[in-house]
Amino acid sequence: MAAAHEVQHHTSTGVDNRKLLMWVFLASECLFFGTLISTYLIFKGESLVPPRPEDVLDIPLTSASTFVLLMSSLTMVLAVYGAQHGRIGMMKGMLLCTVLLGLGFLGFQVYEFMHFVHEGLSLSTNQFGASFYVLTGFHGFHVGIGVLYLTSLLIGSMRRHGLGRDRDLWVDTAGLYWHFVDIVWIVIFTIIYLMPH
Amino acid sequence: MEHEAAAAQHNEHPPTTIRQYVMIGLILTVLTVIELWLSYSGLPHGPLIAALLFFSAVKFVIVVALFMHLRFDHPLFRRMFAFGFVLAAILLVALLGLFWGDHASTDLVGGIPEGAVVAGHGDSEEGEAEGEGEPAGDPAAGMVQGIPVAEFFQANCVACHGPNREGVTGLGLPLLPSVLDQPDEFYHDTIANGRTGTAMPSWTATKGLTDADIDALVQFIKHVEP
Repeated sequence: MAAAHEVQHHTSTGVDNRKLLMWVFLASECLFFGTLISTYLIFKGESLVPPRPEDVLDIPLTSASTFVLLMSSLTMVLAVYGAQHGRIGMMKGMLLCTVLLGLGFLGFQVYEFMHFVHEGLSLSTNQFGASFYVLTGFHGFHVGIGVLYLTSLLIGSMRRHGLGRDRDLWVDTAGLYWHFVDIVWIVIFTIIYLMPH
Repeated sequence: MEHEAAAAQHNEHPPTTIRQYVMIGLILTVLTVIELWLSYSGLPHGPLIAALLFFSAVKFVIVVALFMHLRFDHPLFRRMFAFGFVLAAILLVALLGLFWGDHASTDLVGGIPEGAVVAGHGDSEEGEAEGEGEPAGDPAAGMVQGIPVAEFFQANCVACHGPNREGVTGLGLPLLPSVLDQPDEFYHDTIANGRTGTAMPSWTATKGLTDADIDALVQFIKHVEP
């Protein structure tokens, strides 16, 4: 307890550097996804050849995957709650649920990509294909990294000493990353799928 | 020491209960359902886009403030994230401002009266309103800057679109009647103003093509087999 207290006060900012690093990283990620979203919007309606968004996008299917990701945010925040309040069983269970929901989301995305390729939309077909695959592909990549990140925490929590004295910091920081991936999807879902084409 | 540590821990922990988290999850779900309903509601585009952006922003703020605990956390985190977010928003506005000019020109060309486009068909004087995609005269007989359209195409377009209009990978798309399924105005705009994100230049700017020239080209690529 004393050591944890000491770590907390050894920074000139008064906050834990590891958590600050995650926020700085997420701030830079805003620019990363901001650029990709801008590119998608600039290329919107510019495709010279089909398939175009209205030909291939399946809104009910993507709504289901959006719900899955939204629920994973809920299980993630409950995992953080468990870590912060010493409810280790809850933390592990909710981390597992989050990983499984993340995998579910990725499954939807793989199915969607395969379906689109079958419909004749590849990365080089037209501007829609290029900007769509790059934007949603990078988001899916982030979800994949998040799944690995949370799995490593889950495995760590299975060890004899669990995640150690910084347990709530580790889970909280991973939660920040996971929720960020969720808010990026909130924007992507609205801009790509729901907005009129 | 114990007391201080407990106090520090208490500050770190947001006051939200499990029940409240579940309620927040429920609210986010309801907002998503509303968005989905809106997208199927048939609202005019303007209000629809505004409403979708509003609900999306509300969901965004709820997740950042309550799930990511930014509302209860150290102000430094808030400032750090706000900095990145505002920079990204400025970047988005700047990029759209720079590159959305082409969309304005698309609207402009789309707004050219039907008669003006028809009048551009080579020597054709028929001028009757034809159905979409139906040429007014012989599309193979059009003239561009005083030379037959096929010759103009061979001299200027084949480098990117191929000698038989089959397209060149990585450069120009195929320009065959079987694949050109958009309205004439779309191809007119592409030739006149170029196309963002491709190698296609503006032929009005580079060669000084007139609307009549461009229209002859559009009829040629849409209706004449190579």
